[in-house]
Amino acid sequence: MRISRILVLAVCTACVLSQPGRSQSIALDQSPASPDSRLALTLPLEDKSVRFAVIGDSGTGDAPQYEVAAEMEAYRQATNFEFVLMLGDNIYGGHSARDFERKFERPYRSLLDAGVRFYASLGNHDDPNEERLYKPFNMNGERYYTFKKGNVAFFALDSNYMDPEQLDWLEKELRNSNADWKVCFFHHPLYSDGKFHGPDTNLRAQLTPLFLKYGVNVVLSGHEHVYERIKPELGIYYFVLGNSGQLRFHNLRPSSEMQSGLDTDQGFILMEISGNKLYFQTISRTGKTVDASVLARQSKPAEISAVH
Amino acid sequence: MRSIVILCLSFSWCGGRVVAQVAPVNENSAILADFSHRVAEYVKLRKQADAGVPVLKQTNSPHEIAERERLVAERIRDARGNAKQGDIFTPQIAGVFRHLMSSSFKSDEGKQIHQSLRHAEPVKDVSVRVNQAYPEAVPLQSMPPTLLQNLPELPKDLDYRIIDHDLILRDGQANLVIDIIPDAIPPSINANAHQ
Repeated sequence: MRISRILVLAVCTACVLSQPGRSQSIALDQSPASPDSRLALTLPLEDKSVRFAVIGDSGTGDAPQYEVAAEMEAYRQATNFEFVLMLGDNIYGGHSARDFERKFERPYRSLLDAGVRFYASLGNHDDPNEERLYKPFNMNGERYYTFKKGNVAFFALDSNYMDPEQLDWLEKELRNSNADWKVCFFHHPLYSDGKFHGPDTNLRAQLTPLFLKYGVNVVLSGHEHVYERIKPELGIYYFVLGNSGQLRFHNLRPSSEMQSGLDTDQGFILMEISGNKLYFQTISRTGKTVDASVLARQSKPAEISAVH
Repeated sequence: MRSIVILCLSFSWCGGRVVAQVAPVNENSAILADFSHRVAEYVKLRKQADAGVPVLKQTNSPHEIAERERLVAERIRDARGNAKQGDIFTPQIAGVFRHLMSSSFKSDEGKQIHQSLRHAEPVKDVSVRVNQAYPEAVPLQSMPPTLLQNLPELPKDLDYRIIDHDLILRDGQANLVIDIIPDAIPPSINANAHQ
């Protein structure tokens, strides 16, 4: 059965939050704090939580990118999310000033004007030299970098070119991080049920040992022009989001690894991290919430390793 | 083998001009020391070209970034006016690289490397030339990490890229093709097809 044709929601209502790698579903018809009654907000909007949005493969400059951006703005007004993670392919095609304007500045103008910061990672369609120096992408002139918000450390990687130097850097940064949550984001997915690309197993073989050793909690990737949430792999939560501008229609081939997916529309993810919980909500271009859940923070790296 | 390569490269890059002082452990290491020397010479030339262009920090203007890239590239192109394919990847060096690539594909991780190449977005039917820009709108194919581990490390801002079966040495900041090894990937490897 092609369950990818429709939104697939997590239905593991019996899951226990304290167990690593488990999630709890959220009723999608609740709208606790939304000023816009059209919005089906499931995030709790707790005090001092870290709130952000995620987009991937966004930079087409076409109408769907603008429509996703409009939904993001509507949800920003409801949630006050502070920043956006970009999973690569931020600017497709040419990289002239006009391209940056049409494929980034104009669609996200209202977010930028509201002070929302964008943190970019590089995809294969990106120009590393131009984008790492482009101030609104906040890459500090580097192909890979890290930053911290509250109790969450973010690691932006360049999966196009995972050379030994970058791996050494990542290990050092992960080892030195004392954050409660460690989130890695980069372009090429380690797990994917997309028919067009599939997972990068060579990249997976290099990164997974580091993720396990240093307790990475969440991994976000793009490249595949669909949305997919993978069942926790070795206790780590994996999301694929490559449809914030692009879309590869009906391109998911759901396997037993897939928790939920969307391959019939563009979308973005909203995330909120508060204490030991990560709440997320995946929203389509048309404003439909297609996946939402709350994930428990995995306790310790050793515990993650012990899962398998 | 890899430790030998790294030893030779680090000596030649740290000390410059010291290739002759590093006793080649075997023929391949001498050839790769020659490669590191040629790369070091390029880096020296590149630094001179770079020095004549104002330093650019982060900016809101893509035009400024592109303009600086263009200026640096122009100065490098002028300084390497006679550059031709094989200047850095001499036939001997290219031979060793082909061997390293081939060994990678035959190793235990060969299947992963092959899969990684196919699952990236393979770049083909693109013509590039030494001392010319890598085409702006053509994606950069991602490099399998294990392949990068098996090739000599490069100084910052230079990278290896693959187009079809060719290996490109690229200056990332100037977006210039420095040299090319045609058919660096064994012909038996189909790096283009998606699964």
